[in-house]
Amino acid sequence: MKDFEKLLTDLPKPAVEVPAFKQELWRELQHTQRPVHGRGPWIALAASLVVIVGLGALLAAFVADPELAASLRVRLVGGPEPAGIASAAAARSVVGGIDGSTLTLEDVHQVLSRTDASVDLDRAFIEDWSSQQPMPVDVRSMEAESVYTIRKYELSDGKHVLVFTELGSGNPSVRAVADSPASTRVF
Amino acid sequence: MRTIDPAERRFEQVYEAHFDAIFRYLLHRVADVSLAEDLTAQTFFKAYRAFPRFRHREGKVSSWLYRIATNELNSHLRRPRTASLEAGFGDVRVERENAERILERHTAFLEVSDVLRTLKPEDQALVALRYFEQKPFAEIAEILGRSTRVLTVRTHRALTRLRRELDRRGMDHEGLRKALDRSAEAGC
Repeated sequence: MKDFEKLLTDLPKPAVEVPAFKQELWRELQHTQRPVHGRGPWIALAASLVVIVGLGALLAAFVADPELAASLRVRLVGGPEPAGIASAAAARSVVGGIDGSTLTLEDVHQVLSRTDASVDLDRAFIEDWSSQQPMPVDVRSMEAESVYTIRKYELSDGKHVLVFTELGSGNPSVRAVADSPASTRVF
Repeated sequence: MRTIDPAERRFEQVYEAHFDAIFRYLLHRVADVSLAEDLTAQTFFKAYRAFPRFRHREGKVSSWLYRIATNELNSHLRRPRTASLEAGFGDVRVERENAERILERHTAFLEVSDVLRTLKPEDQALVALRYFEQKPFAEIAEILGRSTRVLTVRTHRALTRLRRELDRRGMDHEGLRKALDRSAEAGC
């Protein structure tokens, strides 16, 4: 093997030189835009800090408002109508009288034309409620039951109007008006 | 007027000092002048961009350049590309034709080089760096990122395979010696 190694070492290799190509390549290299040294790591550091601050703010929001997770879930999974519709209804109800009686069915109907309700959330709520009853309470399947949506609107005087609608009927009506934000009186 | 920053000035010194060695290493590996030029260009483009991040404590600059060249060649072996640089004009074209003529005269080298390319890319690099470029194992270890112990064992295996393949092609030790003598007579 030593002989073979010596043979490979002694093997004449082409000693080629290419000075013209070397010069041309150097010219090409000088026209290449080299990235500014040190800027890349700073951009990466700044991006990391932004992400960390964002995550920190999110965590702080969850700690400060324990209801945030639940309200986010309701918004994402389903539940009350989007804020845009609620505020539109509230804006219309301002036109009405102090107890909401002048909130016309047409006004409400327009808002409620998009009737949607999360049956799963309702079922979870009832099951939770029944589990807290002193005596066992059977909850019948909600399938083939009438499903209602209940929406709450705030009037300009601070009173609340509850509207519930049987899904599919397309015939909403005002059922309850609260005297104050704290208590709701059902009619 | 274009200002030259200190890093660029340092790179120019590196380029001047190591261009020929890198070009020759790649030429010995691929036995093709145009391809060697192309790979040399890619090596120095990469080195030029990465040079500001190169730290001398990480090793010798020559090892760093050989490592880039080896990686470029391995990439080429995986996905062969056509030459990215222009064919060249005037002096470069004439120079290339002369280089090809010199290469053609080294028949014994071309035969060994052809057989060498049947080995695994890392074994090719190992044999070329050790016996063509005559690098010590410590430097090859730096270039290939392996321990010298591993490289010693691997070299022995690579040489056994190379010798077996040369024998299979009718270029046994004696045949290689004669080819070497013929090359010497031809003035190579």
